[in-house]
Parts: sequence; structure tokens; C-alpha cells
Amino acid sequence: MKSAAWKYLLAGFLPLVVLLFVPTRPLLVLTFGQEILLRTAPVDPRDFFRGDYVELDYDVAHLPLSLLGGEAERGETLYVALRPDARGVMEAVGISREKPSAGSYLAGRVVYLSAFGAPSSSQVDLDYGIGRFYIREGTGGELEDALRRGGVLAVVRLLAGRAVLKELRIESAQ
Amino acid sequence: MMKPNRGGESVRDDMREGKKISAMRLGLIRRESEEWVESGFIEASQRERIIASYVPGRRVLPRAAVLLGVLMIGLGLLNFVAANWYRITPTWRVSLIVALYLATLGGAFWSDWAERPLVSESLLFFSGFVFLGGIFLISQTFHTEGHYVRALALWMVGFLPTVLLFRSLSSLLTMHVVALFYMGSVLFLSFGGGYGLAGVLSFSLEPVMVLLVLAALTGWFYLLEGGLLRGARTLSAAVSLCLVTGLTAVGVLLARMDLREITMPLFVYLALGMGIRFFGERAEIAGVDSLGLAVTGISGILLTFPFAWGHSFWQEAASETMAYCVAVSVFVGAYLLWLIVRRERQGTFAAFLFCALLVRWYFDFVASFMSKSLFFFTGGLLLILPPLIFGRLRRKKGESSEGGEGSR
Repeated sequence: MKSAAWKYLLAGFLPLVVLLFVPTRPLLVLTFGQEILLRTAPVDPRDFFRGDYVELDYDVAHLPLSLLGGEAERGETLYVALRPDARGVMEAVGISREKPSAGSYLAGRVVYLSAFGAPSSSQVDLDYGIGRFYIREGTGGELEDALRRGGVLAVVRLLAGRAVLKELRIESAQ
Repeated sequence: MMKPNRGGESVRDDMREGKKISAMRLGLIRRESEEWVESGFIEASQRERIIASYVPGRRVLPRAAVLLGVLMIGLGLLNFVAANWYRITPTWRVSLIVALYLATLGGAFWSDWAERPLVSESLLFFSGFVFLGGIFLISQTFHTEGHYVRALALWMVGFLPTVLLFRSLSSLLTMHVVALFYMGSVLFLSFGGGYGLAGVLSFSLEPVMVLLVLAALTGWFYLLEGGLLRGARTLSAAVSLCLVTGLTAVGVLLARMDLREITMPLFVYLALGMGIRFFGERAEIAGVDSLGLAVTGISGILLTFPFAWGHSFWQEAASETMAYCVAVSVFVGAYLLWLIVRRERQGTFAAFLFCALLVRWYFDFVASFMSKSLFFFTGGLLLILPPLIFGRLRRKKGESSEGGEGSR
């Protein structure tokens, strides 16, 4: 028995919404976002559903709570103001609960809070959603070799605090 | 009294007339009835009608192997694409995924209107696979960190209308397996702020997803039984819902015990599944025996992995742990083979689980030294080729014996 055309239209509606909606924001960020550099360090796991990837850890993902000037809660969104250093790599200069009105900033979710001794040494760990970079299968070793020769910089596109990873760049040893 | 045919076959298949019997028995009836005609017991037209009232049942193990093999080749294709499309821009990648999805859905529609229901159903099933692959490939394209469990949830939401509207067995089964895998993942794997079973409590804050899974599972049973066991759908849907909810409750209860290892809960599920299957078969409540088998099969297969015995994913398992894994494999394998040999209505599903068990060991032996796409392609071919070759040989043998009979 033939199925009516509306059944196919209805069946295709939600998958198309998902397939078109999910990439919209990252595409906007990649197209219109500001390009910045972040210092990072990778490790090398394997993902069976997608491809090999490196897990990335950023300098700006572990910050002293003193930059916020108050307490933070796990799960809340904080905004990290950025400023380029002498080599053009971004570093954190402040944390706030409101979006900064000017300059570059990253929106991150608090994933962990740690206190070491004095309150001033408390640290906040933030997740910016850019902790994973997919690489060509079997090239994790090459990246590790490159790491031994120097550090790794992440080229990130940034739009209204939202970040999308574009590529990794090997920083030559000084 | 003829028993109602309730399991294993698609709702569409069930609409076909004819009682299913093995090809061997059908051959016997053909030969015997020919002699009855020759002896004058019955007319030739009566013989034709008798033979037409039977359909040869398809062999369950080859069918299950082919289904799993096709899935593995699909995964191989997905990985091959993922590993080789770095030169294409993200916009083109998304466009290709959407175009492929539309092509498969459009192809299903066209085949449906061209009176090719089997092609239509296969393309519809493939569209679901493209959709799932598309979610993972988009995630890879933009280097997003999302947990695979969330991707599965997204897929279930998107594919549910297809399952509800078209009621094909392959889609229903896939949705059911993914739903069970999803439930297993969120119950037993580390997820959002906790590890092991303690992580479950953080998941329980997502009741909408749990409800969705329950709705999907209930819908599956409802549709399958609605088509195959007319009149008793409300009872079987209610029993299925109660059992699925009960199994979830057991999972949450075990989680609250904050056990560090998942070995004991998996054994509990293994035993519960066997009990539910036995109860479902005895009480003849459709779908319940399949649910029990699914629970047994999945928990049993999980118990063949060292992580189920407290080993971390990245640590090489001790020989003692591997011995436990092998022992569980032998037990679960023997149980599934017993169900296959009995040729009861869960035979196809049992065969599918048996193939999954074989694939699990194939995974263990070769995954570490093969590229992923090659691993999936080879595994898929290993599953598909034997049934194809043996099927062809069997057909040739059948043709030659038919020819022999004819010349007699």
C-alpha cells in the first residue's frame, strides 16, 4: 500500500530541523567571528563514532577566583575578558557575570571549583565547549612529536563570547 | 488451533498471507502432495492451494548477520568519510549531509510510489542511519564536545516520527536497540558530574529524556503488537510499560546504592531479563519476551567487557578478568543459540544478539591495529559474505534437486 506524501514530509521535518539548526551557530561564528589564539595542550584519545581527536586543555580554562572578586557556583556561566600578550596569544584579564561591553571575551560554564589554603588561591575551572579537536585518523602521533618541539596554539573564532575551534598551530620552540 | 504469529516479523510482512514453515518442511509437503495427486487422493488444483497456503520462513541467523553486517559497513562508510573530508569546507560538509538525507528520503518516497515497498523500507531505514551519521559528522566538523548520549537522544527525537508513521521492522528494532543502549549508557556510564553509578543521579535530573525513551519503547511495543496481536494491544502495551518502568526503577535503586562497580547490577539485569522472557513466553503476552531477551542480551554482552568488572577503559585487563568475560560469553552465547535452535518467535532477535556477541570479540581482537573504516568494512563483509555464499550454494543445490525431480 502506498504511503501518502505528507507522511514523508512529516518524517523528514524533525531530522531536517536538527541537521540544519545544529550547525547554524558554529557556521555563523566561523563566518563572522573574530579570530584569536589561545595557548593549549593536547592528549590523544579515540572516538569510535566520529574520528580521532585530541582532548585540549587551555591556560584560560583554569583561572584564579580572585579575578571574579566573589564566589562562583558550579554550572553558572561566567565571562572571561581577554587581552593579547606580546606574541598575540590571548590571556585572561578578568572574570564577570555580565557580558563585557567591549573587547574580546569568552563565555564559559563553571565545571569545577577548587580551594588551596587561603581564599585568594581558589581556582575556577571553565568549559568553553572547545575542548576537543578532531584530527585525521592516525595523526595523533605526529601531533605528539610536534608537541615535543614546541607548544600548541588553538586558532579560535569568537562571536559574542561563543567560541568555535578552527585549527591547531604548532608553536616553534624559542 | 493456530497460534497467533506475534514476533520477529514486520507489521507489513505480517499482512502477507500464508503460514510460515521452514523450507525443509515445505519441500516435504511439495513432494508428499505430488504423490497424493498421483495416487488420486487430491486434485492438482487442491495441491496448488495447499502449497500456496504456506510461505517458506527465512533463516534467522543469516538475516541477522546481514542486518548487522550492513550496519557495520555503514559505520565503515561513515568513518571513511570522517577521515577523508578534511579538504571540504564546513558549509559543503553540512550541505552534503542534508542532500544525502533528502536523497534517501526522496528515494524512499519514489520507491513507495513505484510499488517497491522493500526498497522503500530499506531506504527509509538508511535515511535514519544518514541522519544519525550526520549528527556525528556535524559534531566532528565543528569540533563540538557533545556527549554521544546526547547525540543519540537527538536522533531518537528526530527519527521517532518515521518509526511511528511507517512501522517498518528494521526502524522499529533500531529505535528499540538505540533506546536500550541510551538507557544503559545513562544508567551505567559516567555522565555529567559523576562516575559509575553515582553519575546516574545527575542524569535523573533529565526526566524529559527518560520519559521520551519510555514513550519510544512503549510505542514500539504498541505498534508491533497492534499489528500482530489484534485485540490484546492495550494489555500488552500496559504490561510492557510497567516492565520498562520497573527496570528503570531497578536501575535507579541500584544507582542509589552508590556501587563502585557495575558487575552486580548487570547480573541482576541478566537474571531479570531471563525471567521476563520466560514469563512473556508462558503468559503469551506479545513483546514481553522480546523485552526480556533484549535486557538479557544487552546486559550479557556488556558483562563480556572488562570495564563491567571494574577495569578502566584504557587499562589492559588481567587474565582473571578476561576469563570471567569469556565465561559469560560462553553462557550468553549458549543461551542465545538455544533460542535460535528452538526456532521460536524470538529466533531472529536472538540471532541478532548472537552476531553482536561475535562482533564484540572481533572488536577486541582487531580494533587496535586496524583503521576504523577498514575495521568496520571487514567486520561487515565477514558477517555478510558467509550467508550470501551459503545461500547461493543452497539455492543451486535446490535448483539441481528440483531439476532432478522434474526429470524423474
